Amino acid sequence: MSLTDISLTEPSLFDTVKKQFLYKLKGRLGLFLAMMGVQIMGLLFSLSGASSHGMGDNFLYVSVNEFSSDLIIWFTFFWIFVVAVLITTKDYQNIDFTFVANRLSSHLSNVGFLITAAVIGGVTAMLSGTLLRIVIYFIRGRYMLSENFITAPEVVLTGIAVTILYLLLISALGYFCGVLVQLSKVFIVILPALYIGTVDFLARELPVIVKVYNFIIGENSLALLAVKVLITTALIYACSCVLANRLEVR
Amino acid sequence: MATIDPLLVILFMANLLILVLVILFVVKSGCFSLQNKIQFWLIAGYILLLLASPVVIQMLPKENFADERIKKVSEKDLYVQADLYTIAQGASPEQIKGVFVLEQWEFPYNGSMLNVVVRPLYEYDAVIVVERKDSADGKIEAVNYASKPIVELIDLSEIMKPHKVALDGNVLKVTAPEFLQIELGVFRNEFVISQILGDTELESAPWRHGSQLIYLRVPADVEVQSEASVHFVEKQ
Amino acid sequence: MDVISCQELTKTFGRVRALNNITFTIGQNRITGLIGPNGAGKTTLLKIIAGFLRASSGEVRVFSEDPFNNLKVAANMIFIDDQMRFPTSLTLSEILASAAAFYENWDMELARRLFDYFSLDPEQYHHKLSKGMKSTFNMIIGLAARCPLTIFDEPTTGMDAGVRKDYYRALLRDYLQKPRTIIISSHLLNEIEDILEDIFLLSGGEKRLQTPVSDLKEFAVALRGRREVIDKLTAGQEIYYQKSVGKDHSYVVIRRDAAEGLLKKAGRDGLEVFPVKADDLCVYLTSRKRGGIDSVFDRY
Repeated sequence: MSLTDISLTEPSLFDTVKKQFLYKLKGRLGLFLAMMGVQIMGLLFSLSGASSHGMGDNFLYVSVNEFSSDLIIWFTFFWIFVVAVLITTKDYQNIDFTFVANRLSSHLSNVGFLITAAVIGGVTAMLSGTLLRIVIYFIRGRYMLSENFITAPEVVLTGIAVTILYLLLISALGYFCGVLVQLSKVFIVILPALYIGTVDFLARELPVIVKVYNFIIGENSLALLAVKVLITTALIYACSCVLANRLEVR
Repeated sequence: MATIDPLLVILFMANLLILVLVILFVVKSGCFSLQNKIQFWLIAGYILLLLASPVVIQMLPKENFADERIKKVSEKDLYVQADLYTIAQGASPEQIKGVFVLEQWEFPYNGSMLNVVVRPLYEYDAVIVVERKDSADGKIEAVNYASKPIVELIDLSEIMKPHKVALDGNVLKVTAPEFLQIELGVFRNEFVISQILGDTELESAPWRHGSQLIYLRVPADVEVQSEASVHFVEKQ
Repeated sequence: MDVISCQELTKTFGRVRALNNITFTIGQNRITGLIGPNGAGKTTLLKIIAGFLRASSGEVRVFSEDPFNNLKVAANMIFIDDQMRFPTSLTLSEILASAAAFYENWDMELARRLFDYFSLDPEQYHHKLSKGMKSTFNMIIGLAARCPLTIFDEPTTGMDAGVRKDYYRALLRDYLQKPRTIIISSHLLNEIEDILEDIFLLSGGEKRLQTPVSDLKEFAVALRGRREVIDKLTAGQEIYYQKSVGKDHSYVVIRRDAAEGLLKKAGRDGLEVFPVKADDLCVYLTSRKRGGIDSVFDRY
């Protein structure tokens, strides 16, 4: 060996994941721009109010229009699902494997990215609700009721926490779906069919599906919800990693 | 699960479609050519705006809220049933709780016949109560009584518009008040909050209709006639 | 130490056999040219070495490890081709900065100087570059990364002739300064012949030849003479290329050592002997039909 020989480097997994995570965060800012667009759209759709009920007599008709930022949160759920599927596609994978990566580091940095996306998405979705309140205040201030208008910090924080938990779960599901599609294109047909079937069974109150539904959506304790969601999310991510570990890339 | 309205499903699907298009558009197109720095500052600005909004919302003047501006009633008051029709049956307005004077008029009158007309004819059923006074003092007194409309514990009587009552020769014209439409707005907590903290019951307090009644006190020597239904009561 | 070693490597995609039973080794700090026509399996072989694809059977070792899904191999290897993707929101200089974070031996000074020389705009976006500019940029990444194993898969796609020359010169200079194992794939030998040390010929998923370039020039000779004489002489020999010359003459290419033996036996009556150029030989060795494209038209 000559003196000018290049020596082999011994990379650590953690180091590689960290580098990839930062690289992805930098390179995928556009996805957060999409989140912004989706939330602003949700806000605009919410300006007209969610539902309205009224009462009238000979002289007076009073209606109460209910406003809510639920739509913004739903839109954010949808956004993170699309993002999670998107980053499993060949285009994004290709970007990963341009520089140093193996399957595990690629998945772990993706998971890190999605967790970050869930936290940012959760905070912004809930705070968009506050922004919506301010906008509505100025549009129709004189006839707003103060109920639920200014929410106590602990209530907002609870909302943020629950939203983040849902976003984590949905991103894990989206990622899993994306990985399945990468494994076999058959899943492009199977997954939507499965989804429609589930919704259909849910409507028919099939006990198993209702149980799964109640497991998360029926949970009223934040701590229990967190435990359930975190364990489920971790399991789904683990499955995705194991399934995709033998995938060929580029 | 309740059955799902197909129209809602279609609307929901349309929304989702728009959403996917927006996401794909932002991801695939021009926005992506935005410099990384510009993207970063756009997003940072958005997040800063959102972080500032809890502070801003605290600074909004609270007296502007409908329920701060307008008197609120206690839940107990709701159950004081003000039935204006008991007046038509002879009860004294002053004795009925929850009834108040919205407007009153006084007309000097020397004729012996009074014709009461209600406008708009056929469309409006005014409740008119006539009481003959003990003396012929040459004055017609008209009082517009009303009971409070209460919505979400807010007493909306302040914004109630009274009837118009005018005397022209021997015709007393009672015109219905202009119809008011009010849209209140209220926020519902996000479903992620209500899952943990429960729903804030919006419709816990029942709503109350408000009603109005015209009470005429005519001099003892005046005959009252009308094509509208007029209730005659005796002075107690 | 062998940087790469393959034992009976086979790769199939469904029913298609892309690589068939390939065995070879590549030593440290050599520049190897992987030459073969389109569809020979060059990219597949390189991607298996890079650890992107999995071998269907056989054994692959890179730095003595199985490259598939191997972080150590990934960190010491860079794979440059025209399919490289970068985040579309990053400018070229931002991509360079990102690459620098990934590769320990990254030479930013070199990258900047090459950038200036090829007049690339650091504020430009990768997806807005022309094909040739993309290739140039990818090449800069490949050189500046200074990886112990550097793989270029058809690196000069879309480049001008001048830029190609500069590129090979830069590659050679950098290699001399910092020796490392480099593999360049190409379907033509002539341009890269001068910088190569070894040559690896691949055709139809099979290894045809692996030899130092200097040996390749001596590998085969061409014989020309009357057809009956040539046919008689070369019966039972491996003929790399054959064509008719004039009415009754024939031109064949065979191994030099075989030719020497035959000529000793039969004498040189009426036979002319020519050297074969290395790039011609490559084409002969890797072409599908012995007679080349002429054979399609030589029906009578």
